[in-house]
Amino acid sequence: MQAPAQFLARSALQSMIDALAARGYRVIGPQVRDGAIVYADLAQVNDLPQGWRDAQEPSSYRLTHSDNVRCFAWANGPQAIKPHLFAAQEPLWRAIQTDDGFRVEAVEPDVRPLAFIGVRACDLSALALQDRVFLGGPFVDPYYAARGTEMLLIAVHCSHAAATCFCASTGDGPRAGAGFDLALSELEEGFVLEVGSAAGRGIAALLPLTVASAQQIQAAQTQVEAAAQSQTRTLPSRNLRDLLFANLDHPRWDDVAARCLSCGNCTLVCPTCFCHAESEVTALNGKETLHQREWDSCFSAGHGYIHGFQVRPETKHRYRQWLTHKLGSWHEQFGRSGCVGCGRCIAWCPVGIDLTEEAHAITGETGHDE
Amino acid sequence: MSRAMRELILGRVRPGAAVTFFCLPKRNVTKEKGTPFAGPHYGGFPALLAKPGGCATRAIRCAATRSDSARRLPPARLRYSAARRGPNYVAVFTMHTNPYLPHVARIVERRQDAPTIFTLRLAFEDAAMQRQYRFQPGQFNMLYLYGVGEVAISIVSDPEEETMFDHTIRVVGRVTEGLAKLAPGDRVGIRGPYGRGWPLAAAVGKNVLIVTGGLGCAPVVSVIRYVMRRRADYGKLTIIQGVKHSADLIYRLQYEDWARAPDTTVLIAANASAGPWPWHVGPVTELITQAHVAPDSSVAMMCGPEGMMIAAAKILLQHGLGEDRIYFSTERNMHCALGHCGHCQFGGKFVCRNGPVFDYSEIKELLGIRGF
Ligand SMILES: Cc1cc2nc3c(=O)[nH]c(=O)nc-3n(C[C@H](O)[C@H](O)[C@H](O)COP(=O)(O)OP(=O)(O)OC[C@H]3O[C@@H](n4cnc5c(N)ncnc54)[C@H](O)[C@@H]3O)c2cc1C
Ligand code: SF4
Ligand code: SF4
Ligand code: FES
Repeated sequence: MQAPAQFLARSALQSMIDALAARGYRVIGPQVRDGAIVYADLAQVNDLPQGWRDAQEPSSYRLTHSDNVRCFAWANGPQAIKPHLFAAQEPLWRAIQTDDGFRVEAVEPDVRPLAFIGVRACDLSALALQDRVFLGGPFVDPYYAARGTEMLLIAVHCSHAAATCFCASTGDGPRAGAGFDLALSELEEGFVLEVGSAAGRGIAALLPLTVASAQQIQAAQTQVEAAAQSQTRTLPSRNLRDLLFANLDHPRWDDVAARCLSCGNCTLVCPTCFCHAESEVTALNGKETLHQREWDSCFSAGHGYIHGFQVRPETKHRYRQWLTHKLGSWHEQFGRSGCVGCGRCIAWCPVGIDLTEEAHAITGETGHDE
Repeated sequence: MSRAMRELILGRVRPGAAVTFFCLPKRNVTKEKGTPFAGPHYGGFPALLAKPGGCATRAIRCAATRSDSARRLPPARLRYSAARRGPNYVAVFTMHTNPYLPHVARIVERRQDAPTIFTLRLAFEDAAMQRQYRFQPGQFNMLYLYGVGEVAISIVSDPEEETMFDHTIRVVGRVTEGLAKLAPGDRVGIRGPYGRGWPLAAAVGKNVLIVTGGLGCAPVVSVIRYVMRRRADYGKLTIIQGVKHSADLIYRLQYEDWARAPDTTVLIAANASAGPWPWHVGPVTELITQAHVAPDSSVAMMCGPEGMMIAAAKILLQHGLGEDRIYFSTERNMHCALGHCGHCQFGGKFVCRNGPVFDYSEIKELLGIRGF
């Protein structure tokens, strides 16, 4: 049933960007900006992070360059594709004064179809989770939904995991399993290509493909396996919900709270965090006001505020909310853990708190449970 | 045939409505047992249901039309979208009003109940919307004050009243202070109703015990009025109110009024009192024993400070009342009321969606634990 894997020569990669643009997509791909890899508008193959590698450790993210021809020999940057669908800040509606009161008008999001190149396996899992949050409940978020309109996803299986990655233990990577339209494995000479959907097949038909050789398919397989093998961090693969909630008094919460700055970086880089705050911005003319939303974090003071009472006054409460939600109550809410093993919260934590370590300490679970 | 489907065929989309096409993997939908994609705001097409947990994972890859304009949406377009995905996908469409948009309502009447408590009687500007508006006691609306913000406020009027709905509001901060300054004729924005209300249908035929603490608790006032109007449907009604100081008791006349109703007992406790005080002095929990709860035929509904509710629940449990017969109305920070913004989380529960009314068994694990 599976169509034979195909091959796209490195020299023909531009044809993929062109084909997507010709189909009316706004093409988004990885690029180096301010010392990190980010997903931004992509017109040229030359803008891809060719020769760049990322070195990630707790509280550290560094890029290094070499003359390697590969464009995807890195794990990830501070953001997955989340900001392109769930915007960090966006207007929702405006209220306009009228003679006898006001009227309300929705602010329409830009719905030009997006095509992403270089999406990671963990990003795809995170996307599926955010879909559950914004589309899966009784209320559909029309802003998030509109950006997903006709979206096309071209994944690249990871060949170079970072030291902070642990997607193999959460089951989310390094190979993209589902949810892509096309998936690429990058080799020196080019890309082994798999089709994941009818829309992907439509794009593949526009590319100068050849049949991938057995060696190429094998090499692609070997490198993704090596990326999985190289991972040293793990999360216990079982549902930690009950263990976490049985350990709300564990002394480790005080221990981690003494290190945590309550800055919220972990929640802002996490591809599955969905918390946001709404607020008003009054226009200068005083005749209308904009209702907007922006990302919020359970580490912020406003998150747990109710008049005259702070639900989470201490850092300990906030870290405990983050971890018990991410690895625990997500199961109740959305049917699985909220962690896809991308490691961002470890690298971007200014003091290097490692949630895998905290989870092991608090639950007493080892990583390799048989 | 769903209304949305009919409107689709007729080529009419309600103004302000958005239509979203979902392209779902076939394995995620079912025609038999499942959750409808439709809530009050949705129409499904065709009669497909989401398998538990299977809805909308990687769902939206098709089209969403722009709101505000009525346009023809040929069903062929749906099938085309689904077909583009491949044979294992099916098109589902939902039509819904943008759930983030408030609707303008007019203040018909304003009543000052106490120095910091007032009631607004409201009606939607759109008469059709007002006619269609339905809610359950214990549910709440998001009230928007122009230029200032939105707050969660319970609906206290009777659900059968069709021309208006009431909110009783206590001034505590920015939005509520601003709302207090409005006069009849002024406009506010309303979204709702949201959440799960009191179990009034399940309580039919049973004794109803109300326990509240603090300054006038709006959510239980809706229950009391509901039961009063349908006195024959319920057994004994016992209202227990606790206040810190006798001077804090508002609605004093109201309580005296209720106390005179048939088969109704009103018990009030103040931790401290001054002046003539005909009621109990001491913690409110001491009154529960006096209430003679019949465990097999009673339902308790509570609202107020969490510490008080927990203490009261413990005593009720000792009296043999089942965990699923003790209900709490809870409060957490709220922004969206749609289950999207995360602020109202109480462990795994979203207070806006799964609550605000919970039975004891649902939330006991985290009750009283600081930080949730
Ligand atoms: C389900 C529910 C039903 C409610 N019903 C009523 C009611 O019938 N009558 C009434 O007077 N009050 C009710 N409240 C409380 C009411 O929402 C708050 O008093 C109000 O949000 C305070 O807003 P503020 O701007 O005046 O105060 P501020 O202290 O200035 O609040 C700033 C912001 O914090 C948040 N916030 C503060 N307190 C609360 C709170 N208690 N709950 C949720 N968010 C809060 C809001 O986003 C608010 O805009 C209810 C709350 C909930 C969750
Ligand atoms: S919790 Fe950390 S490792 Fe897990 S998905 Fe979020 S940022 Fe990535
Ligand atoms: S509560 Fe905290 S951990 Fe959970 S989604 Fe919100 S910000 Fe992320
Ligand atoms: S109030 Fe936003 S999730 Fe409940």
